[in-house]
Amino acid sequence: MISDALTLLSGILPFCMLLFGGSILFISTTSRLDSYLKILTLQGVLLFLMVIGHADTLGLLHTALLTLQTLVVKAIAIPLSIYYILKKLEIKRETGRYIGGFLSLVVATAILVMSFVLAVIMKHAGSGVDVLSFGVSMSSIVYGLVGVITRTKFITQVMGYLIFENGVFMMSLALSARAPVIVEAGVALDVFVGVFLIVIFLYRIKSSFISTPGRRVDPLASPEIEMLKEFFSR
Amino acid sequence: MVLALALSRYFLMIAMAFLMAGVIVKVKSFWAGRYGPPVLQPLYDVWKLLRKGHVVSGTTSAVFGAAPSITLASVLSAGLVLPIGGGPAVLHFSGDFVFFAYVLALGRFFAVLGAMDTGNSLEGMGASRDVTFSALLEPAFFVIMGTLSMLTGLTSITEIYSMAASMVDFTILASIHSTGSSGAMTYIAEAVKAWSYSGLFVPVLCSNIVLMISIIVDTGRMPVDDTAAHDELTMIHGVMVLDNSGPDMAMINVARAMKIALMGTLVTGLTMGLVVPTWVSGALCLVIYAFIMLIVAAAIGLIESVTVRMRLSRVPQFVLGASSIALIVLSALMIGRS
Repeated sequence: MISDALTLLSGILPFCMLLFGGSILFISTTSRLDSYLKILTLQGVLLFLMVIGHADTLGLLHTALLTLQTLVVKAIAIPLSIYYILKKLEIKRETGRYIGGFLSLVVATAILVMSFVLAVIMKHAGSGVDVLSFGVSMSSIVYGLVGVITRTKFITQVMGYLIFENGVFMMSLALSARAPVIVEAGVALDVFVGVFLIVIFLYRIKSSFISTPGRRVDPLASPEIEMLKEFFSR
Repeated sequence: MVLALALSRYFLMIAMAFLMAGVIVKVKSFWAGRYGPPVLQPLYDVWKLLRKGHVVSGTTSAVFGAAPSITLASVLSAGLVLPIGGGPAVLHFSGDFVFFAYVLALGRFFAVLGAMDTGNSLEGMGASRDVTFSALLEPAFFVIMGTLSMLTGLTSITEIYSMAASMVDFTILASIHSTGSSGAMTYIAEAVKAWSYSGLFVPVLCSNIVLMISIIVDTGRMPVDDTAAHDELTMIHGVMVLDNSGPDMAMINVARAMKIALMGTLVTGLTMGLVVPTWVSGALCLVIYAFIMLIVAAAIGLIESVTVRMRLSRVPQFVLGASSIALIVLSALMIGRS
């Protein structure tokens, strides 16, 4: 009975991965932080299902540890603490992203396409990767990094980092048969996220980190430039 | 005989069109806590409109009069190339999905012309929006059809769909072979596994998602356009027919209902390819077809009930999302082939 359920779960693995890939596309368009958070929770649940789907290669002990970690940490603890912080800081949506929703979607598409192409090339080279799993996790890693770069608020940058980390976790699941410890080491990245969150909470970092752009200095400088011009033209 | 059967299936699709339109309204009413109009209300509406006279604005030309009939004719002829309920289409030839897309585009072209012909600025605005969104959607449809035809090596919708169906036989046989005579639960689990790891599962699922988005965008359903809106500035499809009345409006209503049924048939065909083995045939197939069509209608009604209309500037992102999914699937398959 249990083995049948496990077979069924490993049967719906491709579906979980597709949903994961779709979540990356969705995240690229949204600017509302609560939907961003919902997607992160969904990714946590999907990773939990994926761990159970990989149970036959992971073994009982590692499966038990990883399911606990994914469910408790990724699907409950981190989203809850982010939710708490968002409420405390009263942030609802993100404005002033470096690239808009439309372009962001194009970027996410390009990343997914490239990752799948890479996965297929690797498969043809005889590395034995699963195209769907590798493509989705690779694009999650790359999109997470892009998210860190293109988002402006500290809290969204941490969320981008979380997507990156989910990608790392998913990719290491594919290698789980050879080294399950790697997967657990990946979970340690969550601790890192925890530190980020505590810092945001303790220092109440609300504003975005934008270095003063050059063009903002221009209007300040222009009276002096005008004076200089006047001086030299005399 | 084959033609007669195909034609009877075609008429089933037309009947399903009215039924689906009714079911969508019924689901929406149920969700809103109302009883709702009878399921056959769209048919009664058409009958009522057909008996009415119609008022034509003095500024319009012959194009305005011809537009609704051409739109209806285009939708009806596009339906001829669709395989319905597992059987072959009335017409099938290689490359007929191009025919399907462009006959529909012809109908849309005349609908737009008819709207522009009235000289009403709101109708012009609606027409412009309709053309923008369908231009963004067209690549998605072609990429998905290209993907499926690359997967099967065939270029006619009928052939592609029958090829997809034979894939299921293979997976079911494989799972029976691997499980032997153990329990039913084992069999189901193995079948699901074999099914989802077959090469067809991911492309077909993605195609279905893209086609569902096409239905929503093409027929102006909820996250894109509100069919119950009364504000002309926010409407897309509703605003294009402000000047039509009587039999013209009836034709437009039929064309709209048919469009949902056409795209729904594409979705249903692919889904049946995944779940119905080829040895199931005849009347049972048609029953399954009608059932899945109703599920599609219920899904549209459900999406319509639980989502809110997007800001117009967000719609292109939504539509482009469909093209993105299609493009990702195609690129993965294309590299896999080479």
